[in-house]
Amino acid sequence: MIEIKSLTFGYSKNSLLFKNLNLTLKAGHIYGLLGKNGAGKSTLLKNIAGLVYPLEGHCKLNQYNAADRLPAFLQELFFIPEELFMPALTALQFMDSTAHFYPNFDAVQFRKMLNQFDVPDHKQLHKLSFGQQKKAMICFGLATNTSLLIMDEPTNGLDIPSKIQFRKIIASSLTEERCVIISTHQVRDLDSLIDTLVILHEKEIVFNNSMDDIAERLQFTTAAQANAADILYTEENTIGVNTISINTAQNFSRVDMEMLFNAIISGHQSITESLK
Amino acid sequence: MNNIFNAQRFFKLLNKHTREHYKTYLISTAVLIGILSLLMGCTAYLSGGQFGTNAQFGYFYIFLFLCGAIFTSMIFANLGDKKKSIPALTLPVSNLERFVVGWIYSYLIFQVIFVICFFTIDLIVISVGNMNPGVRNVLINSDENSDKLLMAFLIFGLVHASAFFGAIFFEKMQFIKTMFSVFIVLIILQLINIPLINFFFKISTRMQPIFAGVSLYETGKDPYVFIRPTADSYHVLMIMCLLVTLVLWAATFFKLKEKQV
Repeated sequence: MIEIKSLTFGYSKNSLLFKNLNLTLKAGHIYGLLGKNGAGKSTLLKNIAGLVYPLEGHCKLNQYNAADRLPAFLQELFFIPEELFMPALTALQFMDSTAHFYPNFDAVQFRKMLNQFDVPDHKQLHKLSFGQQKKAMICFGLATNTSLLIMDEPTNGLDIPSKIQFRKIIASSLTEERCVIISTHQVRDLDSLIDTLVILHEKEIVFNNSMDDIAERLQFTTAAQANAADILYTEENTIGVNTISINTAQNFSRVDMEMLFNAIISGHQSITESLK
Repeated sequence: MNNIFNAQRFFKLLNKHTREHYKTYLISTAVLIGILSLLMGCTAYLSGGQFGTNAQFGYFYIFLFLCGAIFTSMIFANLGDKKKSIPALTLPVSNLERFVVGWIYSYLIFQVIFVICFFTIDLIVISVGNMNPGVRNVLINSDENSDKLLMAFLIFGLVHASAFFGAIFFEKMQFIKTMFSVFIVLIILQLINIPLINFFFKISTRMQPIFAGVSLYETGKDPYVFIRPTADSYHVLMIMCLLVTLVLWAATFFKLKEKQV
């Protein structure tokens, strides 16, 4: 589906953001892309969408080179950026002027999702609140039914009920042919939504594992519940000490993405090695 | 699927562009009509109703070039704005289709709208002026002045191509930066012109605008020798103008193709 091979990119040759980066993303998955501020999450998404050109290597979507930005490639991709621009059109007028560029666009699905998200379809988009605009764009992106949907910080600006609705809608719109990439700082918004976690750190993809795999091999418990010999990482918080340990007993625990992310970016190699 | 140019996709893009920008374009046309009416009307009023063909040509040239350059400089403003450039560049259309839509609006449609607005206002100003006793204004005759009009549209092509290239090359303040660059190029051409002619003629050259003949003199001798451009040199100039226009349009297309966010 998406093949990133030997990708080297930087806004100048002297300060590279990625060096020799390799990544393969498959259809039928929702990927969560995490990284610190300035790690290059948005830039990686832009490389995938062909919005910036790599210095070396390539990004391909279904054999189309992203940097060529061919219409056949673009109609299989929808990008929802962090900051939106909305034209002076209503949601339905926007659909009339833009939907026909996407051959699999589903107008019924679009109206239904607008309704679920409580976005008015008769008000001009640029006059809506930021959260409403974001929801309108998420609805449109999902209704395009493109094989790749990229969302950069999609939950920014959404209220709590909308975040819940967002998770439901995204989960229900995933098909075997579709790949969704979500980049966010707000790790908790991705809880029970993503099925694969990708972490970008210091110019490299340092982690790329499915949530099932993580839950199967690692255990997220308090220090009291963990077997001291298996502990890989500990983190203190106001109510005690939480741990990540090797799941030797094959007990299922909820993956704490925030703690896992902290462990990985703080250089705990043992965690990535235990998942190999 | 044709990934270079597809007529159906092109018309969809033209339709989308029109729907999203028609209000701005209508307001811009109203502003153009307002300014032209005000200035041309004031000129005729202050001259007791007189509005000669030279004044009409003056307004025609100045407004065609100035308004054309301003409008064209803004045609790719979407691509210079971070928020707007992502939806614009990820829309499933080819670079050629994007380029042609920008070209049609800024070159063809602008000229048609400008000519209609200008001559309508000109006709009204002349008619009102002719109500004064003893005043007989005439409208620019396109048959008699075909050379001047042809030259105006040829130069407009060059102005448009420069502004079109600047619109994609610069991310912000496209008009100001393009005009600044054009003036820098003109100054450099003017400065290079004198040593270059000195080199060819082995004689001193007097400062002369570029493409307007050569004034030569020898130290201690008078008067100057002025070599007027021949009819052929005007043809060469026109062809050069056309070629530079085409090169700048092509450069704009390739710059659009390379555009990054």
